[in-house]
Amino acid sequence: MLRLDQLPVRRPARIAAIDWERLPVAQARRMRELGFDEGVGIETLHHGPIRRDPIALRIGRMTVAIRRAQAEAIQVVEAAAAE
Amino acid sequence: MNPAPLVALVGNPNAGKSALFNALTGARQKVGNYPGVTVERKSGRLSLPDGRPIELIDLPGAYSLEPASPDEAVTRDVVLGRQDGERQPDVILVVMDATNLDNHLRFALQLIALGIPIVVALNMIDMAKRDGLEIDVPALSRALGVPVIATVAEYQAPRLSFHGDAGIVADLLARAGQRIEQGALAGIGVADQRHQRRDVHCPTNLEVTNLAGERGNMDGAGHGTAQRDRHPADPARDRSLAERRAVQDLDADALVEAELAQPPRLGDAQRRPIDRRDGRALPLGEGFEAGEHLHRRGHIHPASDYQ
Repeated sequence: MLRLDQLPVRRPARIAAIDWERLPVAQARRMRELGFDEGVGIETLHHGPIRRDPIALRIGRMTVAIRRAQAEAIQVVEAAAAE
Repeated sequence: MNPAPLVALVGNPNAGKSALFNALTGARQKVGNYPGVTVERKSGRLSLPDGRPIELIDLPGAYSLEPASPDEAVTRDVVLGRQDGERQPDVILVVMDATNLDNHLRFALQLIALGIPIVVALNMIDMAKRDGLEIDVPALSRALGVPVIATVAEYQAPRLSFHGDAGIVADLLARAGQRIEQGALAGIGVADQRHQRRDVHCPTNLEVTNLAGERGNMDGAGHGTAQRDRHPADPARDRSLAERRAVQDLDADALVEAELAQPPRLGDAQRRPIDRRDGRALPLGEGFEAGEHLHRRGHIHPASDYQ
């Protein structure tokens, strides 16, 4: 289990928990609309050049960029570790 | 003279609304703006073989009825019939990407919960098939309680094509309160337009599996996280086709079953008051039926940036 912002690039993982309370309501809502939820497959694709922010993710069938601060609220389990 | 029935295309971004709009209306489009906001209004006309027109509008993509941008606010307001410069649509044509059903069903369910006349266009059904997803369209339609039509709207310059069931237009009109004679729409879309040509054929080659028969490994209870846990980590690349099919079926099935135990019926819109402050339908009888589950799971928050 590690935080999404610590997940290395191209290592498929699954969302274990999301601390919705940490996120502003509007952000949390949009992230849910984009498909962020427990159990959802996720993979980091890129990190931004400045302080590795933002973070581009593949979630479901979409590519989404979120802020590092948002990623910090998300706990993931690497797929390899989960098997 | 009564205006032509108004049909609005609504759906998530990148579901294929505009492709479907272009395929259905061809060159007969008008682009303008909604008053007071820099949001484009695209409308077009669709003529039935007997000459009756439908006005089709292409609304901005949205993830939910709780807007996070001016575009999404327009989509919500048009759907609810309170947008300046637009009458309330007679029918909402919900466009879903068949390859991204678990995500797009969320918004579709929210729209269906409003109880207004809805037809679902299950777009990009060819891509879903290519990816090994077999979607039981009749079963989805039964579960949602609204007509569902598989469509492929693609742009292949210089020609637009709309592959879908001609019944989509029949359903639209029927829900717009228009009487349709049997067979009157058989040739819809086949006639050449001046600038574009449209082909229509039914996706009879679509292999349809019985979704109900394939979900033996899942109980009705415990769908929520249990079903979510079945998401493999990398659906795009590593998953075998069989697995992907199973997951897609489970997602659609569980969502629909849990949230639409009682699908709203046509005509509910008249009986169900709309909360003018946040645009959500107020509870009718024992509660907010279809949308309740979404609220409970926190998918829908009452707060919003754009009111």
